[in-house]
Amino acid sequence: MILIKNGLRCALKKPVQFLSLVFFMLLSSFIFVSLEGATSSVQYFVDDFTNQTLQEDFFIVLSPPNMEQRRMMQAKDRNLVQFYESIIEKLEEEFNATFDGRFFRDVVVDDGNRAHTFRFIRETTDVNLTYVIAGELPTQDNEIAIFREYANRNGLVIGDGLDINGRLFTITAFIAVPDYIYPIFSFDSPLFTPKTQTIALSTPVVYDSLQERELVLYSGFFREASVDKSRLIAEIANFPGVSYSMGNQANVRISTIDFQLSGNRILAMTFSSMLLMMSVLVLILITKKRITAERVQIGVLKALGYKEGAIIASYLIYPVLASFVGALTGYFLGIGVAVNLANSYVVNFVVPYVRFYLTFRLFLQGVILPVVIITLSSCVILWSFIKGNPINLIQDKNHLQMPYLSEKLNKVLTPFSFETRFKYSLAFRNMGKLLTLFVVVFIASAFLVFGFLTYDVVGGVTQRAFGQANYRYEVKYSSFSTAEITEGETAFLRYQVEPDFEVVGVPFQLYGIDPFNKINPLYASTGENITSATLEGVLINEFISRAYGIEVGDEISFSIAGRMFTYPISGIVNHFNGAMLYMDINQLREGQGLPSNVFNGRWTNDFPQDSSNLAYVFSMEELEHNLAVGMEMIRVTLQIMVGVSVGLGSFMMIVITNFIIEENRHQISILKVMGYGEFEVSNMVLTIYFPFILAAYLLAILMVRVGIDLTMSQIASRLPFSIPTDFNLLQILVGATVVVFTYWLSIRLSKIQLNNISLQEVLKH
Amino acid sequence: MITLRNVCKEYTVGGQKTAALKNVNLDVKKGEFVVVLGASGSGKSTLLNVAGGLDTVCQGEIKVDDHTITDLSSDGLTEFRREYLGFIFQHYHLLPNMTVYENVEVGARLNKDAKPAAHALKEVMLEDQSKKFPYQLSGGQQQRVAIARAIAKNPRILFCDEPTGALDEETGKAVLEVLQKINEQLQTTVFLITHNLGIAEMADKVIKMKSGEIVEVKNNLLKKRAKEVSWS
Repeated sequence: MILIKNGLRCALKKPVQFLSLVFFMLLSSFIFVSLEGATSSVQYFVDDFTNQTLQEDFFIVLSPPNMEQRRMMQAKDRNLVQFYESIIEKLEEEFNATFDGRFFRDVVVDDGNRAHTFRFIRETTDVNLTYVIAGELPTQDNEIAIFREYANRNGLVIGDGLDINGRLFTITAFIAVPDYIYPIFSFDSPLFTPKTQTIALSTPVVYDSLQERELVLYSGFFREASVDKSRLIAEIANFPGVSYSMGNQANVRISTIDFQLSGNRILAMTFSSMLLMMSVLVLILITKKRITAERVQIGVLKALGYKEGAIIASYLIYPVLASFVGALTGYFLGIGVAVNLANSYVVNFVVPYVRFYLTFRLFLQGVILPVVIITLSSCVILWSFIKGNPINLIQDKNHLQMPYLSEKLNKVLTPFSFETRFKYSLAFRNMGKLLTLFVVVFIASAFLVFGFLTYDVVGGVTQRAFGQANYRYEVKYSSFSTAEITEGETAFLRYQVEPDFEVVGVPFQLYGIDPFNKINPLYASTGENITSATLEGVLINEFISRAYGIEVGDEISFSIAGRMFTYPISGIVNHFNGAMLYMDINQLREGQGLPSNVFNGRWTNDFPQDSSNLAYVFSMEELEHNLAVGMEMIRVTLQIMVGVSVGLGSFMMIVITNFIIEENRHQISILKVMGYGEFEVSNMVLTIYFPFILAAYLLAILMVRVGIDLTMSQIASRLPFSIPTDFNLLQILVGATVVVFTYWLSIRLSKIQLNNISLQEVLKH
Repeated sequence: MITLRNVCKEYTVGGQKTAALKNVNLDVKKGEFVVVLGASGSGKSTLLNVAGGLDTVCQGEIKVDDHTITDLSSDGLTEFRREYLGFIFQHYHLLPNMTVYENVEVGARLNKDAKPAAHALKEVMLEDQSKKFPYQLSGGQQQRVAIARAIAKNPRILFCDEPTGALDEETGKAVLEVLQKINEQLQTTVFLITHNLGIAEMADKVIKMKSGEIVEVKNNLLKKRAKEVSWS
């Protein structure tokens, strides 16, 4: 007990050091709990919602009947839906899947200011069920259920009336449907604008009475959970009568939120782990300092007969208390932020309910685990410091000992000037401290570099994806076309392909393109136009290169309609979004046995007039906006990280410089007593770490780049984009300036402490 | 050379003011070997601190040659120490990461008129140990390195705070011999504080302190050689 009292007293004696450990633990826990808490809350409620409502695994676009099929339909007196249903039956049998049709009609209402789109849906019974958030589903023909987001933005509540082109409805419910979590209504307008767009559900009578064109997407889920879904979805795309299939991972209406949650979770985990690592480093510094200062006392206790375990336990009070106080405070602050963050994460999504979901796991990971890590680290550190014979501790001769390596390094310095020898011998004397400083500055710099790289990640990704394009629309057809390609547009042949990799998450899109087109030219990161390199092989984009670690010169294999193709990689396109492959359109046609004039899409500046064969039309602006919205959650997280990084980097430098002064107190005192001035002392003692700090910064640049690439390759199956890691000379200089300025600032602050070191300090011991 | 007039120094410990020096007056001539004796808490270390410009006084005036050091700023005191003083401590306070030669060089670099580090090491008879690190030396050798470091810059006054306090008789006397040689050959004023009464036998002037006051100042007419002093 008496030893524990002593431990507590030590904590109070050095409040700044105690509080720095508290601070790092607080930040680590706060970042983790706020980001992970918000993410897991959203995830929990989204999962609950999608499970309850039997969310689709995929949807398909069926090909319209050809002439012969039309003749047969007429002969058998079957309509289009019946024709489609016959294909669906075969699909259900072949793939052991449950299908349901999402029938819908878009009713557009112009309120004088803007057009409102009400997507009337027919209620499904087997897939993508309707979820009632509030109220009762309509039972009368004058009743309607809509999105809560639409109601909120238009000042409507349940019970209010709604005039839809002269037809009066009463709102009876707010609903959500799992295939419209990110509600993109139109292929030619892939944006969700909650104020003007809503799903609308009324009675079947009302739906059937609508005159607007009816469309249908068939959705389905596999009855067995353990099947290889991506392989089966690719096979479905090649099933007779199916023109297109898309898994829910590729369906932005469904997957956007998952992508964001996955990315967010990875960032939260990485960031808080690094903070925890810094806490351990700070702990090592503090513990070593304490043990060094109290080694005689420890020696005496050991000589008196106290066991190492009892002594370690007394020293554990300090880190356990600091880490627990820090982690617990961070946990509660994190929960406070997580509630709001969770709501800000889902601002672009329609999910029925999101509130903070408190789990024991969060407490375990956010508080208990860090405290356990700190406690175990402390035990190891303490044991390594206090082990050995008590007499060695009591005699306290250690301060003169020169580690072998330091002695050898000192000899290397012999030819250099006195200043150089003095500085570096001081640095080399304590290699452990130097290494710790290096690692800490490295991590702090890594945060700064990461902040720089990711500050405008959304802009960077979209600029690279669309910055060089000379078209306004990407038009994709449901079936092959041989229509005329005019000047100012270029045709492409697009396939969703199955690459020959062990783990594939994001679907690969293969574009056959004109190698000499000027409409959608492809550029390497060097700025070189590499469109014509499609003549020599396949171009992959940066996302694939980084996610799967393949380069120019490697080969890539993928299957189209069950046939495997292998091509050399002839270039890497500077795009970071999605998994895109490009090859010569003629070579692709040849491989597929297609005539030399067919295509299934075009990049054009004119909106297509004929919509009969359209699968989708994406406009450039909308694609950009879509990508930006898709990365919104990650952007918010990154901004928090950038802010914390800069603050933390600076704080770390100050703490470390403070430690340097503390460690060198004695030498500083003796130099001052001898007559060295403040400037000379600070020059000899404080600036010695400058080259190491610069080296740590440069290494951080390298490691962050490698780290991001490695991380991206690890999470390739979960994120639809990669982070550009080009760091130009200007950015390197700006980063170096920030690091140097922070170091200079911390030295200035430390000098105040330096000047306060008493001259008699040296006389005391 | 060193003049103290009505010097007072107070410390506040736990809210209580304690007088460490009470109205101290003292004159030390150039080249004198002065030994200050006194029990623990008598004020001898405080006297060394204020005379050496390491601490400030509450009242009174201290002059070294023509410099009134009690009027000097912090920077002025640094310059003063650099120019005039050398310090030797009981626990040597060598820089552990530097070789013997480099430790002496740290002192030599402070003064334009400094003697080469090698000469200073020769004065203390350690020229053959110059490449060693402090941990490779005995206590007496370490103290001689500290002396070499102090004399390398040619100080006019050498302040020694219990320089033999951590040494045995034989080693202690060897250190005292070095100090005596420096005092005699270089005319360096030595201001040495100790509780070892025997050391007073080699001093020109012996000052006894008690409770912050100088209670006796005695000039030795017959000085002993360092190796002849009694050891307590």
